Amino acid sequence: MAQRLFGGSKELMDYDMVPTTVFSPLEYGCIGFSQEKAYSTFGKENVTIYHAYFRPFEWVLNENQPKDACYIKMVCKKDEDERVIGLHYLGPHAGDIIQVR
Amino acid sequence: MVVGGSYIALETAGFLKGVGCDVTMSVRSILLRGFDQGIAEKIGKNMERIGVPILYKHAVQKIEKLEDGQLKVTISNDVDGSVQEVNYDNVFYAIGRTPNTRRLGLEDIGIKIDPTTYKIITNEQDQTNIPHIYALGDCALDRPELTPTAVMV
Repeated sequence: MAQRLFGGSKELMDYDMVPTTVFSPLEYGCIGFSQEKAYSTFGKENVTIYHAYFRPFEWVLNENQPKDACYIKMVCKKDEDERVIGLHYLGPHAGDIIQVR
Repeated sequence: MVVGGSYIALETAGFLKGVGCDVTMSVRSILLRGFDQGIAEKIGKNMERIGVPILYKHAVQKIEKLEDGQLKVTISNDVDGSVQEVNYDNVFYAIGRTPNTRRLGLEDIGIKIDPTTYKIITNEQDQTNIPHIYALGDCALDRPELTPTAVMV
């Protein structure tokens, strides 16, 4: 807005695809569409979900950490060459991983 | 006890557990409304795994302060209608926020506020209905809350 008001810019703030993180004990970072929102917006048949459980490397030597806690989900739009429209990461350092650049 | 299912509730319950408190969450409906529910469910499971029980479909009916300073909380189970009383040292409410827009005198100058959320109505250029007055951030209607959007890259 400062650029628009004082810098001669005409570019609007783009509030789409703003990444965010929930700092629960197991952090959750996400950007874009949730699975539910993608289904309701584009129809279930037009959405592909890729997902996987994983073990962060820093947990590998710690047997007390569960093997199925960390999880990643990618929401893709089928008719746009599987363009990624949502990414959901549940695991350590989510805030650092799901950020702008 | 932490009441609510929002990110604030989860984060608060999480750090209190982290510093060694016994924490229970009371959640009226679902965790993380608006977020991916598959993930929300896993976050809930992880809270319970680390020792934070979650009372789903429960609502606090009454809180009484006892002589020793503890709080007697009456909680009802919305599924079977049962009621229980549990004592807690503290009760935190994390059930949403309302922007403090009503004490600014905005109505005196005719700025439009959404009657339900008390948020300021803006256009895509972040202008209020008075063009030289702008509103940014959580106080503006339909903008991301508690989310930094100001990072320039």
